[in-house]
Amino acid sequence: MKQKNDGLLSRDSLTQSDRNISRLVKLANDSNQPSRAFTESLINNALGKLEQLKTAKKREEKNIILKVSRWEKAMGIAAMIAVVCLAGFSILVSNLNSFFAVIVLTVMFINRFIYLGGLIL
Amino acid sequence: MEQRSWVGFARGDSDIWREFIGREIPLLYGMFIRRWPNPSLAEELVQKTIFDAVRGCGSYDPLRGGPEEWILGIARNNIRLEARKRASRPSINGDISRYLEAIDTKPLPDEVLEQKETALLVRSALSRLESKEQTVLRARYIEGLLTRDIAGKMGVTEKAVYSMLYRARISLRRELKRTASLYDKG
Repeated sequence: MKQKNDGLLSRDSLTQSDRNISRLVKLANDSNQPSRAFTESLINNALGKLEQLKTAKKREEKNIILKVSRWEKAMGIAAMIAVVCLAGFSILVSNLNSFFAVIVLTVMFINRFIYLGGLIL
Repeated sequence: MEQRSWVGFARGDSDIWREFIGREIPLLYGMFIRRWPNPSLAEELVQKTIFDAVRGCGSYDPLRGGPEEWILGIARNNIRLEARKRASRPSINGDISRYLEAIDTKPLPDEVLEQKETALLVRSALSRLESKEQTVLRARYIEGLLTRDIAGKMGVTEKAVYSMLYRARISLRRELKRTASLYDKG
């Protein structure tokens, strides 16, 4: 904010002396209105900031959409793998007699329990 | 602003905002300068208010009223903040002559700038400068023109403007000190 103290003269570096002289000379202004240069410069800077904020907001919204779509994609792949595994499993079970099917299922469940137990412990 | 533009304003429509800011700047400036007769501070507070409004654009609710009342609320809040800031710092007494010695190193206190005597002293010191020096100082600090614009207006090179400004600042400092010492004696 302070940078715009002297009619937004960003090109010229301001020393303390410059700032004080600027503040003093402005006291000699008879008008109770801001200068045209100050007004125009402030309008342009404010609109620039507004555009910047709008772009940042749009980018944020886009990121949320991207994150959602990435999540959906992962879920889709997981569902696909589950379907393929179930299909393979049902083919395997249908080709075995009931005794072997029970053994395969029991082994699978024990395996899962061991795996889950390991995760919990 | 017409009520049908309020939604566009809340959405951050650039054209509506340009028109709105252009209309509000003089009003806000007038409001601040009436509170503290200090043009630099008034400009600073106008800038702060406008940027606060831009940053808080998303919080504007058209159902609660027009943008004019909304920005006035922000301006009043900035006045309160400035008043609180002043109340918390030690009171400043004395005229400008005490501070002129340190003009190159320390910022002049706002309270000193807001005294009527300070404005009179500056006007008097400025009137004693050469016409070209007055013109260049006014163009730079009151009209807020850039060096190239001053050069175009005065029909000289930018380098000449820099050197004129340098000399004018030295002359003004000298005249301020001389006038202040006359005031002290008188």
